[in-house]
Amino acid sequence: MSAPRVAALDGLDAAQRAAVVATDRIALVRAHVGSGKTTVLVHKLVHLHLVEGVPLDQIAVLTFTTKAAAELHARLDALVGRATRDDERWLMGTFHAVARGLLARALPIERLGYGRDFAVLDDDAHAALIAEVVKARCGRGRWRRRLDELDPDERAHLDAQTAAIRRARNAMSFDDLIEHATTLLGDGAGPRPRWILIDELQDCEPRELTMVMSLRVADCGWFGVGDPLQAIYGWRGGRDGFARAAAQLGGRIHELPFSYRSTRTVLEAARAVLGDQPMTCGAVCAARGDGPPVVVRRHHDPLAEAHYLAARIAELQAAGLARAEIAVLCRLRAQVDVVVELLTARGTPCVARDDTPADAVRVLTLHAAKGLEFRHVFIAGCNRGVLPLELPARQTDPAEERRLLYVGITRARDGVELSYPATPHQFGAHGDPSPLLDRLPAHGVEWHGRGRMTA
Amino acid sequence: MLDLSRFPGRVVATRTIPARPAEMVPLPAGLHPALRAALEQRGVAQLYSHQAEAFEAARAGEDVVVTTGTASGKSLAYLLPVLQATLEDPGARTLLLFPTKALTQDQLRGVTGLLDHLATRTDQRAPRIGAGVYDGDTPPAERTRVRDRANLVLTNPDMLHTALLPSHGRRGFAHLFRNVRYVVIDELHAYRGAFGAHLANVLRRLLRICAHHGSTPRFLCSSATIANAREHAETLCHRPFRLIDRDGSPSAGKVIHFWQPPAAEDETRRPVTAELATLVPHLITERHRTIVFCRSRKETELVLKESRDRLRDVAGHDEGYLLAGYRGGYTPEERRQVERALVDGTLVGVVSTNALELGIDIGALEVVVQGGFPGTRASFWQQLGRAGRRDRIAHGILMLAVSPTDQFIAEHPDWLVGQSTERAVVDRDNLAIQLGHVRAAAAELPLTLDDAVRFPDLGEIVTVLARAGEVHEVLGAWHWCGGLFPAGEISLRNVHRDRFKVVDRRTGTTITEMSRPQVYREAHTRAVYLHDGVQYQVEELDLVQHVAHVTEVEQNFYTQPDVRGAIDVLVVQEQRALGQTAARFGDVRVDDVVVGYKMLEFHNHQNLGYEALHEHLRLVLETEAVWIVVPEPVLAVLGQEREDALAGMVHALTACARLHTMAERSDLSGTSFHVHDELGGPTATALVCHDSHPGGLGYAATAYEHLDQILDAAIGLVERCRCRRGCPACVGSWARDPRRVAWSLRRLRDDVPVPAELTTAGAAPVAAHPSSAARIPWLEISERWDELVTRLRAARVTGAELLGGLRGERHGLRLVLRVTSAGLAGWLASDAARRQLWQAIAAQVDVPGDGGIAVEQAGDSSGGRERSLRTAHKLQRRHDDLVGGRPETERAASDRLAGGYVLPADGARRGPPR
Repeated sequence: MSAPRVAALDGLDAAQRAAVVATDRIALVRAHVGSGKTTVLVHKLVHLHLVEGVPLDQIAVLTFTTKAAAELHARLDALVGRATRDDERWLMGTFHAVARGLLARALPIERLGYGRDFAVLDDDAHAALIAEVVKARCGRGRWRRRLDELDPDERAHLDAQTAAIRRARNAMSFDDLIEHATTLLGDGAGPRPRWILIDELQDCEPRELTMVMSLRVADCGWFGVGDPLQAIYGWRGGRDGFARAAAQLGGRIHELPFSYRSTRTVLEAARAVLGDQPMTCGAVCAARGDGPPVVVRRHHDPLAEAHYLAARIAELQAAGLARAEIAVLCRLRAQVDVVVELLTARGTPCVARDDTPADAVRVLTLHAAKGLEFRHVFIAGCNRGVLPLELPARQTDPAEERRLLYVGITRARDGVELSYPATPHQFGAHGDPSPLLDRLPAHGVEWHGRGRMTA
Repeated sequence: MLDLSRFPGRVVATRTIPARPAEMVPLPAGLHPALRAALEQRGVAQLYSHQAEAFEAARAGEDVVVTTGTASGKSLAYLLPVLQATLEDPGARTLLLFPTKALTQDQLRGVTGLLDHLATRTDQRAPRIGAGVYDGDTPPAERTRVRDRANLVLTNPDMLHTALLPSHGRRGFAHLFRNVRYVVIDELHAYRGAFGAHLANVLRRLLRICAHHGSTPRFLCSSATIANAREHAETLCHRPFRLIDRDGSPSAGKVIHFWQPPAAEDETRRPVTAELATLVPHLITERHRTIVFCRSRKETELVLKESRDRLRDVAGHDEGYLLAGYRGGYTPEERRQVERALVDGTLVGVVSTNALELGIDIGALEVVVQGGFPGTRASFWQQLGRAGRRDRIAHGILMLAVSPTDQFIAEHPDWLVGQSTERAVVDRDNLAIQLGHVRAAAAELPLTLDDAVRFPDLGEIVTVLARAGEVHEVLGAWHWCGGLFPAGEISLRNVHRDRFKVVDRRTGTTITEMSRPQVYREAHTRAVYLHDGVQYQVEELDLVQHVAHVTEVEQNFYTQPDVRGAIDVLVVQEQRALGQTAARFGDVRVDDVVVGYKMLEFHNHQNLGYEALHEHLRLVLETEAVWIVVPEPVLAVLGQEREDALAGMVHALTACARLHTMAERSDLSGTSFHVHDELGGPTATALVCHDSHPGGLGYAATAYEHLDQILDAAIGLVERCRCRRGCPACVGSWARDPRRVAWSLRRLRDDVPVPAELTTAGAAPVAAHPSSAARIPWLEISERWDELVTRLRAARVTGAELLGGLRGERHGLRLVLRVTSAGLAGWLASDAARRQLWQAIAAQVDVPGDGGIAVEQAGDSSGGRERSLRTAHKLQRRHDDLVGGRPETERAASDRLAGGYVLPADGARRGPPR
């Protein structure tokens, strides 16, 4: 028995341990919020490597964000007790990073007319390319409107034209990476890893899932981790990736029922927001006890809201919290910008991205907060019209909007404060609170200011 | 040359104002080259001394107020430092506030002219400067442009108050407030009284918001000549100011003619309008470029129509087109057309209201005719400033109306031209106004302790707002949690918000819009409404749809409304003794009712008949008032001269009350009225001062507090006045005997004997009250208490036993009953109980009509606590007025705070005044 082998199971609870050591070739882990999902994924990886002797470069690990990939890397190195090499981890990273690695190193991309030293266009660069094509076709002034007016045939023509240009310039868009990798893998080319591990399976898009399926051969092991209750990327096509994978592959489903992050009070509030969404798993078990009540506050306008946030953040700091342990979450990017501007004006250091190491309060969209945790979480601008988001052009999924607030609330370990301005400045927002707040339980929730609708 | 020899005997006096040469200085050395080039391109090679002085002072960081004459280039005085700063920092923004929209548009034209020269100069490196108007008429897209890009934002205080400040946190506004370098306030003298107090508080809010966004703007102000321009600027803008009043612009010599209309048959004088209708055509046919100021919109139209009628056949052709009208109610296009025609000389004359008194550019004219004294010396000079080309003598003709002031001026021209202008008064800490703006400020940004520096009564105000649930404390700051738009609940000007349209029934076009008071007087059914000289008759006034339907007519008469006034006492809030009489403070209802109209023939103004209105048009003002009962002996002495003397007393008291409360004429009004007691007591006459704003702004309340000083001041004013026969300054009229008024005022305070000359003036002796012979005189009630109780017992009156156990004491008009039992005091708190007692006593005692019973429970009253309680009480009342009625129980409680219980005068009613 070697020392790393002990470390691979250290500090896991019974459910986590069962999932890690399970011998099933195909397994899914349905992980509750704060139940150690990433921990299980990392430990499974280490277990496969150290205990079952699978070389790291034959294990694919797909994560949702670069941040999650970086964390995986750090924890892997810590657990195996050495600095793993990049070439060992060449199948580990985000879907795009793995696809890119496959295309650059292992797949015959010359078949598609590309050279191995292809460039990758980020979203801005790709938008610029489209603009270039459209402008060339219909003049400078009207191109943006023209783009919106395209019928499906014209759209397909435009796509083909831009694809040709990309090929000619030896450049790929993000979508190209997934598409080309899938095509070539489907043709039987490329490496065949022995294990595939996927994080955040619930938000996995169908195309991404197809790519991973193409990577897999018959005896390849499959270990997917996810929480259907945190599926918040349905609008991008990621609806129910967990269920789809289960339907396609079958396999055993493990549960991680113990929630370690949030207090019971916070968890109960979050679950109440979800309401009667189909519960495919048993009730979550709060490993922590009751905490301070969840607070709902009405403010006159966003300025008063920011005024309050600044004062309250100062108070929390005085109570010993670091700024980086505090987050302000909003439904919309535009709201984030406003909060950052107002808090900065009031002398509260804050940043709008999480990957900045500064001693500053995080101001993030609910989407961007996924996978993160903080000691104290404010969710600002919880107005009707914004949460659930009401858009003139597009129908939003009410259940997904509820999950979004669920994700936001469950980012908090100790304290959650929700607020809404009575005179919102955000376009489309109404002056009353989000109807989702009406779902909060009577117990453990404090309402400040007016606006509580009583039945 | 102006030749008035065709009007013999009219000019009773002339005064000459000497010409003043220009004082020119070179363009300042520090002037931005682009600005220098633009000025030179416009032919400005030198500046007037005051313009340069203002430039240097502003550059040195001072807040500046310039008070030079009309057309002395005041706009350039503030524009130079603003443009300089903008050229140096293209991000700099300037807010320019003008009192009217018309003036804003006029100033935009001036600014744009200068900016065009800046843009076309050869040096292309200097940044482009943008300017734009942001007011209620600005379309949304233009608003966005102005907000985002204009360096110079021209607006008005109302817009700042309801649109800019409440939106400061919205997208696009923060940028504006962050970069405000200067705040320009033009026509600073226009902000007096309540309007001034509002502006001072709007500026408190502005400075607070600017501080929040990190800017500290400087003020550049311009004002007409007033006695206290610097102090006025400092009061409004909350900063120390540099006064620049040495006028470097040249001024032509002026001759002021005092014009007395000839006496008519019935011992009055010809109306000013009739005189103008003969003088104005003369001036036009002689091609004297003329402006005529009338005192009302109606007079303007009348003079315009009659003058045009006479110009219709001048040597065979119609010269009516050479004369135009100008007033509020004309469309901006109509007005702009007149302004242009005046500048380019297409028009020879214009008949205007004081709308043209403000600095709208109409070029220099030769003759200014004032149809009546405009009310203040400041206005008089401002209007006169419209005349005066550089090298030609200009003329001012002041046509004297039949009013007392005008007639006094006829005899004392130097009272007008030889004395300094009036002071502008503003009470920026007026509780009601401060309260309204603190509410608005709380919604703009949570209130913190720092804000107590800006709003002196913040502590008390926050308490009231917290109690009302409009603010709540969050982590040491007070957050607004009341209605969504508190700024919208106050209007800076005491204007009626309900507007009526006057629609031509034939064409369906809207001729003009007017407020309800105007509609009632000028557009009641069958009224003749004049617009730009055209007659319209009102066919129907639709009060529901707010439309007056009119058709064009050609008749020989116009109409004059018959307006009756009345005052009702609603609630007596407080009451106390004042010298020999009693003073009260409370809520009153002031009614103005249009009951009918007279038809007057054009040109000869003969009364062609009277028509009663089917439906009376009643304007109701519920407000606060203070009133003083005039004791019966005084009225007896005044006898036949009663009305004149009362008017004189009202005039002196109101003038002093305005002084003490810093109210303008438009804020606080005075009158006298008759009250008769419901209980059948004798009729009493009272002198009243009431707020002119609905709900009151606290002027009457402050006057009540200072009533002793105000009465002293009024006595001094009349007694020490140098006039012998009365004047506008003391008793308001030359026809009122100041000795009579002075004695009457003094008699309110002290029990002074009647001077011999007044008793022999033919006053009827006091008629003894027939039934009072057997009664106990009021003054003896304390001494003859036992006798009273005996009589009451004999009459088996309820309450006799109770009174027998007490001892009543007379305090002024009140019978004070001291009780020790709280239960008894509570019982006596009931109006019914006290009324019963009072009725019983009134049967035996010659009680004063305004008297009452006061109940005191043995207790203490420490001064400080009571004062703060008073402020709190007052604020509560203000707040209730602002946000709506308060519960009945609270009203009762607040009445108790007034100290003692008083017999309600709720039932008091007045007869028609005079």
